[in-house]
This record gives sequence, structure tokens and C-alpha cells, in this order.
Amino acid sequence: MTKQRKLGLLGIFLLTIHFGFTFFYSAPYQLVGTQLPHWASHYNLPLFHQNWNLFAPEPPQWNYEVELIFQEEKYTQYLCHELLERHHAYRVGPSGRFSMVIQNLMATLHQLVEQQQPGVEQLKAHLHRLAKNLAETYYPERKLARIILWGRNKQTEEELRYDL
Amino acid sequence: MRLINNILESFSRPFMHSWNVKWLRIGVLAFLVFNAMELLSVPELAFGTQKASPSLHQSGWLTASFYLLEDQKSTLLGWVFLILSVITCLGAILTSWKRTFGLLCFFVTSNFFNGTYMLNSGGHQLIQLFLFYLIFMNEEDESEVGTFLNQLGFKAIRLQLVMMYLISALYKIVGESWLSGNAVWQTLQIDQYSLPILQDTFGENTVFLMMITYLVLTYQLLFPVVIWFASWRKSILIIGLLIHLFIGVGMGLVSFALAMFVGYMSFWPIPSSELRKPASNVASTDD
Repeated sequence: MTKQRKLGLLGIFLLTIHFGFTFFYSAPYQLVGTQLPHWASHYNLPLFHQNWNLFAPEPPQWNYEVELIFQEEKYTQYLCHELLERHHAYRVGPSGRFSMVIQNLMATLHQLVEQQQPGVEQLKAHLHRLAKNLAETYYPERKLARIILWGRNKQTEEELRYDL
Repeated sequence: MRLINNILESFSRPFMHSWNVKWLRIGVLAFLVFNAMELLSVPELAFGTQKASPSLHQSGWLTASFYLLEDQKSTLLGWVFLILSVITCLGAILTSWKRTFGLLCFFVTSNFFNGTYMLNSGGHQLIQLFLFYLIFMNEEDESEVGTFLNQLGFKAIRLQLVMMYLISALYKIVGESWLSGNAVWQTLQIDQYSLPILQDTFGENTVFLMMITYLVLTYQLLFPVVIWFASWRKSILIIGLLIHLFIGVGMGLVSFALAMFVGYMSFWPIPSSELRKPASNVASTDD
């Protein structure tokens, strides 16, 4: 066997191993089951992690909102609305990223509550901390009193509310 | 058999994609600068004491060494990684120490991205993976081992893009929204991934939006196969550019769109003015 062919075989072997693990790690569980992704995770984590963000399979169905109620009487702000107004206007800047974080965290919270899984209080605490920090950044002159989380399914018009 | 021989030998052929790699690196740099600009105004919330990404409590020395921004007590380390990621990327573009700077850039950028993980999109993951593959590459190294590593890294970048589309398409096929033709309309109903003008225009699902949904699904299914045919490549990439332009502007996922544009540089046909002589070699190594 020539040296060229040996190098070729080595290259194909390395690429097959790497992308084989990547496939089993990130493919839908309906196709590869749950055991293979678990094994592949030993190779893919932490350096080669790829999650649904990269593949965006099912579009979300809920719009979430954070209502900030300040100590000043009758003064409230809708944080996501505010962030998204900036995001829609400019498309660049941190606003879109923070609203995305809130949407993702709220979707996870919603799922945990619906499936009665643990971690709800921990997630609520994180959302509270994040909303408070954002409120201090975007409305530094006001004092926050309460935070309410809202969700609305645009298709079914179903609504949800969590008090933090 | 001829195809297998061609693939086996391709790892030892002179590396002819320096132009693509140069623009890949410039694209990665543009992404890093864009990412830095987006977070510059809110360092405390992005990577400081009030950071939006809570600690993951990683254990093990290898994992922990890529999560050095966890448990931040100040923004200083975040600033250091942010600035170093741009400097090391520039080093890989401007100097001959491409592998050394590539390794450093991968290390500091991974740390920075992992420290801001809640604020990242799929584009960040893709850029992180490209940076890993670029560690192997130095277009100026024409030795036998150097050529092998260049070919290996370059093929990995291309395969990563193919893998992303393949898995994305598989997820869409096992889901409901894409096969029913509702996915794009459903996405546009979500304020985060839409624009008011799009929501006003497309209050109901239309034939046009269903066509877009199936076009995206078909594109992702075909990309892994069709992209290897040189004659179809440019058309496929132009369709992809339009899709990702819509994802960037219409859906607001600018960083993801930017990362995909960077990835496309690995497949973009080399301009004739940049082709090395003899041109026939380029054609034979291209596929």
C-alpha cells in the first residue's frame, strides 16, 4: 500500500469517527434511540456539542412577556416588548439576545411546570435575577416592586401567568 | 472504485483552497468582532457579575479549562478573552503561525462563548467548530504532513456544514410543523423571530409560506448531496444565501446567518483570478 493511500485511509478514519459520533450525538432520538447519544456524549462534550439551537426543528408556539411593576404607583413596563422593539428596529445589539434568553427560559419553565418536573423554583429564581438585572440596566432610575411572567399561545390564544 | 481512489488520494494532493480558507478566517474574524460589538454595551450582563448565563458547575480539568468564565467575580477576565479572541484570530490571518494562533483562538473563543452561552445562537456553535477545524490548517505549509492536515481540516469544515443540514432536515422530518407546511408561518407568529410587518402581512398561513416551508426542507435535504457537484454549487449557495438572509433580517438571527455565510466560504467557487496554475489541478481537487 502506498503512503498516499495510507494517509487517505487515516483521513477517512478520523473524519468517520468524528462525524459518526457527532451524528449519533445530535440526531433525533426517534432515529438513533437514547443509548447512542449517551455514549457519543463522552466524545462530543465539551468541545463538539451541537444542540437544537443549531438545528431549530420545531418552531415555538408561545410568546412570553415579563411584566415589571415598579414601586412608583401605576408604573409598569413590559420588558420583552421593550427589548423586541429595539431588536425589530435595529436587528443588531444586545436587546434581541436578552429577549431570546427570556423566551428560552420561559419556555423551559412552562415545560417543567406542565410536566411537573423538578427545577421550577431554581429556574424562577434565575428568571427573577435576570429580570431584576435587566430592569436595573434599562430603567436605572426606578425601583422594582414585583415581576410577573406572562405567556400567550398565538394560535390557541391560551394564556399563562407566573408570579415571581 | 475510481471515486474511492480519488477520495483516498485527495488527502495527499497539493492544497488548492487557500483562497477559501483565507476568507473563512476573515469571516470568523468578522463574526467575532460582530459578537464583541453586540456585547460591548452590556459587559456586566453578558460576562460580568450580573451575567445572564448561570454557572454550569463543570467538573474535570479538560471541561473546566474551557469554562474559565464561570463564577465570574468581575468583568476583567471576560474582557481579556474577548480581546484575545480577536487578536489571535488576526494572528492566524496575518502571520505564518496559523496553527498556533488557531489553537489559541479556539481556546479563548470557546471560553468566551461558554461564558456567555445563554446569549449565543447556533451560529456561535458553528463558529466554535470551524475554529477547531482551523487549528489543523496552515495554507503556507506544503509539507506532506502539512498538506494532509490542511486537507483534513478543510474537509471537516465542509462536512460539518453538510452534517448540520442533514441533521436539521432529519429533525424537521420527524417533527410535525414542517411536513404540514406550517413551520414558517408558525415561526413568524412568534414576536422574537419575526417583524411586525411580516406578522401583519401573514396573519394566516398562505400557499406562499407553505412553499417557503417546503423549499427550506427540500434545500436542507438536498444540500448534503448536491453541494458536491461543482456545476450546481454556486446556484445552491445563492439559494442558501437568500434563505439565511431572510433568517438574519426577517427572523432576527443575525449571528446565525453570519456564521452560515462564513461556512459557505468553504464551498464558494474560487474566482478564476485566484486559481493557482495549472488550473486543471484545481478542478481535480475541487470535488
